[in-house]
Amino acid sequence: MISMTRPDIRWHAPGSAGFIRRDLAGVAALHDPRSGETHLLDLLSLRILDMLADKAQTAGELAENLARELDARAEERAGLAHRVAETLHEFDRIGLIAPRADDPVARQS
Amino acid sequence: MQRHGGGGRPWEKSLGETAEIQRDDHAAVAQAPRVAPPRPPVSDAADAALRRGDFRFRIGPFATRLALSSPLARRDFRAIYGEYPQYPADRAVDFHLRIAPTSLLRRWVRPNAMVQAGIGNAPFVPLPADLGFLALESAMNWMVATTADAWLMFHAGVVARKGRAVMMPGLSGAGKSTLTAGLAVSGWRLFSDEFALLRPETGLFHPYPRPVSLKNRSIDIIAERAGADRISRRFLKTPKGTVAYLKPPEEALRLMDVPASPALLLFPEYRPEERARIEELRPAELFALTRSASINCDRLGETAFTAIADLVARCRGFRLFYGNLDQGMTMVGELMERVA
Amino acid sequence: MTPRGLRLLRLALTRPDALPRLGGAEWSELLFRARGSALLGRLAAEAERAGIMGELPPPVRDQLIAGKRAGELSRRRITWEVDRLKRAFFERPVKLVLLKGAAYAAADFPWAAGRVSSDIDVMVDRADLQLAEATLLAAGWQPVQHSAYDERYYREWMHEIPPLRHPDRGTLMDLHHTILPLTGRLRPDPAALLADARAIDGHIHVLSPADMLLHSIVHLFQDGAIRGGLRDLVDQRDMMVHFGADPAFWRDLVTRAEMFGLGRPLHYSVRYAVRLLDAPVPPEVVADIARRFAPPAPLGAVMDALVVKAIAPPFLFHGTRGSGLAARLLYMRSHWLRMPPGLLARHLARKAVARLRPAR
Repeated sequence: MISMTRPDIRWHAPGSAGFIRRDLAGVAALHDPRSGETHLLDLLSLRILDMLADKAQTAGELAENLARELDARAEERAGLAHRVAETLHEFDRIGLIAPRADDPVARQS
Repeated sequence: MQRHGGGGRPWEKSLGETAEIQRDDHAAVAQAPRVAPPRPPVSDAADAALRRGDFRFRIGPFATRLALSSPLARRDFRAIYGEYPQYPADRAVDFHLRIAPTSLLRRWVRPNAMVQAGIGNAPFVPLPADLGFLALESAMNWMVATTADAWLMFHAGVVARKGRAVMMPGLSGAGKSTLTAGLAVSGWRLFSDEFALLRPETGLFHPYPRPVSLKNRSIDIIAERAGADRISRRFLKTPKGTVAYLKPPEEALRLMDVPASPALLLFPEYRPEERARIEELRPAELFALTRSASINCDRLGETAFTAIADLVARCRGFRLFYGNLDQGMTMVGELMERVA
Repeated sequence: MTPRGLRLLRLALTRPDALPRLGGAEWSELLFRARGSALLGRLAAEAERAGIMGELPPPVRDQLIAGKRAGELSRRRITWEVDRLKRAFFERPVKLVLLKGAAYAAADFPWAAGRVSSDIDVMVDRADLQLAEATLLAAGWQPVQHSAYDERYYREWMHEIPPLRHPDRGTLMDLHHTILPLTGRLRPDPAALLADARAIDGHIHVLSPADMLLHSIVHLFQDGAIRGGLRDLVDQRDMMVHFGADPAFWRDLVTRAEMFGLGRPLHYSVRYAVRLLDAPVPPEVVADIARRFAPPAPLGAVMDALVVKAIAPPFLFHGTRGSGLAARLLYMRSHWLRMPPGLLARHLARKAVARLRPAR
């Protein structure tokens, strides 16, 4: 499997158009009809997923955009980047996101 | 054959228990004293139909066609299912069940009974012929749990009052059956003690009032309230101990086609050493607990997700810790007043 | 003479518009047999396509809904497993040829609707087998537990490495490098199968139409399983309908069958698809195939009787006597084709001994 240390991989959420969501008072229940699985996501995870659904990004780009959106301070960025990496790993494992195959950077590796 | 990864769903455990009860425990059963069952009203036509394999009876939405070879099993069946409606031959059959000896020899020598349902990979194993009724019950559990996918099913007891239903999910042995049985004979309408049937299109619960299985001490506790004539003979030395069946009240059978809308989701736990209390469940927790009590949500995919989310949105959910049956029943009543 | 159970199923496949006229007893039998042959989903799909669901009694509709959901579940599981396969082979250019149910679903053939199957079958070039196996293991698939004897049977004598299963999902994946075991008397060349395979999505391929039909036929008429056989014959009929509109298909079919030594099984498939399921195969094609590949008359008559008996699933309350024995005879014949006699006797003896041990 793609190691999380490959910073050049662009992630996207090809199944996002089909996701079904319900709000459970601050927790999102999300059903992916492709896998048949149901996941419970907190707000941060949900935001990460939505950002990838809008635009394919590398882990670094994602962490940067998220930090800007949350107005993160310098000392919080490392923690945020770590959280992003963990979330991407989990999302990849359960199939909510995938590496984008037509990416010229990815093909070179 | 469907293969499933990960375990832990309540219904998978129920299947394990079903398989347990099927194991041929010759020695234990051979030692059990034979208790003569109460004589049911004589019906030669019914007995003949059971022998022929032409007996058709209906429980809620499911119509079974049954062949039952053992004389004692037939007596048990007629004693316990005698009040259930039959249906005409032009109504399509849901479950074909033949419970018969595995060979000509085993008809006479250490007579046994084996369930055949026409389904490959079914976990049926031979049982002593006298326990044919138990084989029938566990076979029907298995058939419903694995094939009735027009319904969203939960491993739960369901009772209703004034058209509003309370669903009580829980593993067998957590006291759920006793609580359900107690409510069923105290003015609540029994929908089911084992299988909650939810129609995804309408969000309503539909009755599936099987005879309620009671174990060990629960038998006497319920017999006291229901009357001994509503309880079957005791089946001794089964893998779960002593088992008996409560015949559902007449009203539950008469209204078996009348659904109810859900109002309350309760997760009861029998804790005699603790203080009785309730804990309201937050939406995410309630969703997760309810979903994990579902038997076939994985098979129903998106339909199940939406139906469970809707169910959880329209009901309130509580954990209920109670110390004795009366207390539990009172608490259920009070909660229902609160929400309905 | 076609047994009653087969007649009801054939009616459902060829004249679904006539289904509303069935009575309760006929529906009971049809639903029972359909479920027993893994055709309940297909029955539901036919009923929906014919627009008759609303005319059916609610208990019948409910069973069909259940069948439809089983078909949808199967399709979803297979499709998702292929998705996970693509993910595992990201940036690993191995040619993956899907077989049977996974292929039908991935290529979106009409008969994939309502079809139930639980496993994924994938073929790769023998040269890629090690890399493919390593890739899957690295991505989390695990070999299913079995005895050392079975492992050897799989690797050396059959056409598969032991099946793999991903613990997150439980779907079984069989990785093949050929579609017939190496110990059989017939040796079709897997390179020819791979060369003709069609790409449908990146590395994901399916067999050519002729090869796809021949593979299904091989599975039915030379593998051990016959009880599930009716569904396979239905698949074959569907392929004859779908691909058969193109006359080149029939020519390719005969050529490939000859090349792979699968003429006799092809003859059986066409014969029984026509006789039992009204497959619309051009009569000149049927005759040509019979001329080239039919067995001597006595063997043909034996097969006629055996196959009809074994393929029709018995009904619980007035079953056809002897279908169990017929199925066992066919099982023996399949294994005879697959393994040399000495090996066969040893293998069957071992399997018999294994069955006597207490079940897990």
